[in-house]
Amino acid sequence: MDALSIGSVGRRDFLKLAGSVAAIAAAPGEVFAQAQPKRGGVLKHIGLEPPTFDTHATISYQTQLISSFVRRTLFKFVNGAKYGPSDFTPVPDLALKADVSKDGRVYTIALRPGVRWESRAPVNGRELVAADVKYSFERALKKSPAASLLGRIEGIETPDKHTVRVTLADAYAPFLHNLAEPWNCILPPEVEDKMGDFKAAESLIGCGPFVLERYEPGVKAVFARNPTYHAKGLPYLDKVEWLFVKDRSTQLSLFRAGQVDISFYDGRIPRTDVASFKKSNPTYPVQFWDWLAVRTLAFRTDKAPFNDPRVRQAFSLAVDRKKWLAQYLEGQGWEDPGPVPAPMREWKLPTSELGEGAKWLQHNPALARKMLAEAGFPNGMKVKCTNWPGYGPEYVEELELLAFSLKQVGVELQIVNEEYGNYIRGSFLGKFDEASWGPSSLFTEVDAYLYNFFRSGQPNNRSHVADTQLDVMLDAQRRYTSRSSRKKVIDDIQRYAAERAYYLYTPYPKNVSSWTPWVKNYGCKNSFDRGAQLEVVWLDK
Amino acid sequence: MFRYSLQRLLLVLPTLFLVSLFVFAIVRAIPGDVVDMMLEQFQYGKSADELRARLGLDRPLAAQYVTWAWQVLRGDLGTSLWTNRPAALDIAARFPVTMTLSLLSIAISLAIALPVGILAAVRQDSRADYAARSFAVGALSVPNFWLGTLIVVLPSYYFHWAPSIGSFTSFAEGWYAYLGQFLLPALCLGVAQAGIIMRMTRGMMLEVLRQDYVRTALAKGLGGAAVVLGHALRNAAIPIVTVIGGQMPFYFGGSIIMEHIFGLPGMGSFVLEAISRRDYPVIQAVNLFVAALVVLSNLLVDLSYGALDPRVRQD
Repeated sequence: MDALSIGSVGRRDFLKLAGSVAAIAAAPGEVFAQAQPKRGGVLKHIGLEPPTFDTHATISYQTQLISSFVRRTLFKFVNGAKYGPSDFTPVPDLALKADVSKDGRVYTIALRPGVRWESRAPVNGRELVAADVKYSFERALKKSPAASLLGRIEGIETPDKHTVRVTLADAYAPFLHNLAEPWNCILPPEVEDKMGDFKAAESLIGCGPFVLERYEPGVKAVFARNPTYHAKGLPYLDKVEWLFVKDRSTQLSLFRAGQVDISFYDGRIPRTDVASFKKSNPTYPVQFWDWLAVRTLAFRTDKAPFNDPRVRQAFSLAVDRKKWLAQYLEGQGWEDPGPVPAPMREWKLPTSELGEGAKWLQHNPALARKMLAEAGFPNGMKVKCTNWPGYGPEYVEELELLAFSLKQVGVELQIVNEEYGNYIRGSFLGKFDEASWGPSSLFTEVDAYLYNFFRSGQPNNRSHVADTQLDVMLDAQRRYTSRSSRKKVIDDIQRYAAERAYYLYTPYPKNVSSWTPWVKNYGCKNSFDRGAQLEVVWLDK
Repeated sequence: MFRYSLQRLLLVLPTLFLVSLFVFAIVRAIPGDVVDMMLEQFQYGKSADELRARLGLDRPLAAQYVTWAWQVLRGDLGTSLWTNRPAALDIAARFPVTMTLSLLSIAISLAIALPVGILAAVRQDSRADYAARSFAVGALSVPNFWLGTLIVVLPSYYFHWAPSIGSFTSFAEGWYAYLGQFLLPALCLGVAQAGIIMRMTRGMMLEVLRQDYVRTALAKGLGGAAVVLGHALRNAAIPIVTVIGGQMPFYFGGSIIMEHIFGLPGMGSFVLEAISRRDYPVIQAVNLFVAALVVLSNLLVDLSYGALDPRVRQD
């Protein structure tokens, strides 16, 4: 066994973290010495109702959010007020540790002994064992749309009841990180045997910090503290009420009135309401925080006119990113040229180091017009751009701002509003005629922003990029388990992508969140693992 | 009257048949195929053909319709493609919410519209009449979603108070609390309808109050209230009842918005989600159910004519 690389964490760091988390679990009060956690209370939280409860049958984040209260993963990310929103340091959850072979292909995962499933049928409090992990991985590989994020698994063995050995066909750097994603939770096979699948709320049976106490379709899900949760002392809350109130103004009104503690699934409040909110609820904390969903204008690079890099580069030159950030976003955001989101600081290559590609990120309308003329469009051009306006008014404004920028260089962006179903199964997956604009999904590992967007044949490769050289680099970065080697390849990918401008990344704002003043140790997080985020929260009323 | 009722009942059958055809066809006219969506967004199956076959969507439309219609005739409204739950179960859970909201809205509409409409007619061109007519125009002009949003947003901003939303109380837990949570949304929904009914009441009452038999009744010494309520109102009632019956789709439609704003778990939010997921069996079940309700409410309106007007019974 050799060095283990999980994001930025080396093997020693990882094991150290494992130890520290074990200590947190053993004595939670000591960690937060500055404020004594209090047990008890009900957290009222605006949530989202999922289309299904089967985490392997959907990419829906609503399912991941609600499932994470009950079903747990082998590892999880650090949570709490002292950690940043994009701090994805993994710590043990159902596993104690993982060792990786020298060639990066074999992972030996030691499970935490004594973890018990809930004390109800069909699991009746039995111990979680390696066979459960094997069953869950095999089911994910067979059914999950995210299965490719597990790498190419060749075999899963269970040498004993607390050990799982996973053999990959090739080294796959994001493997351990992705084990902490809530879609990758461990499921008890008895539930599928008894109920046929995990679609219904009744199938929400796990070994997490909470148990599902009640589910009222269209109203709420109530989670109660799991008395047999493996992390002693956690969670602090007695209950979490996950309320399915859909109207945004109603959500905020309930929050202003103190009837709910967190007004959205991730605590977000609209940027436009911040000033009035501070006025009406001056004691509520308001926090701007980094968001990892980038905004992209995707092109049909497989056909004219966007198969000509000059056209794409001219589009990029039309955008005044500095002004966009300073004036429209009032400084609370990122100029971000993509593809790696700016808040992923450990991977993000500064513009100054992008080389040749950096020049396409400048604002230079004259050069843009010249390049369009050279590409055969001396009188400008019209481009149909699909989008889904339902993301919200802020997104609509951003697209209008982009259209305004392009108009300055003679490009008329003809905005085509699509219905959600059409957008998500069409434009979001690259099925559009000329261009499409919208936010990306949220990912926590850098690979997803590169491989999904640029690797030929990937469903999220919305710009239809088919570049052999890029494919080679994208595959290579997955194989490097050493962080420094992987970083070099990822740097090269960023330089290469910037030069070719396969996508136009537009600036985007930071999120702004608030919660009631009596909610303590709450930390905003770029993750759908809400259960882990709330297990460390307490109420100080 | 029996023959009249029978005729109306028989007419319901072809209407429901046509409605079922329409519902079946219109669901499939929504852009976006459930198979594409399941495969591409949620990846429920391995291939489109396999999934289509599994869902029974590979057969000719006529065959699909016959299967579905036969299921419905046997009382099976179908099963959700996403949750595997029988649609009838969800409808049974959610229908009482929408029905309560609709009935309470109608009650509020009538409680406002009838007295105000009668008063405006009896005191035509008085200040009370002008005030009533102004109210009607105002009520018609205010969109119910705006009123609903205002009721929820303003008190929270200025007084840190909001209606109790997010904790639905069932009838079994207490009828008082159950009805209480519908009051504000029903008021929002009822006010606009009150404007329409009030105008209709006033207009019909004015017409009836000028009839000879009203003048005769007054001349014979009957009290004003007896004449207005016992004679005039009853004769003015048919168009008013017709308007209320015709508004049933509005109450169901309007309840979607109110359920959304006030967080009520009714049929509106349920069907909206089903549409966004292209959950054909659920969309078909809900639409057919609502269509049947509207047809039945119109039938009740038709039958009420007979109860209100003896001449209809004799015909």
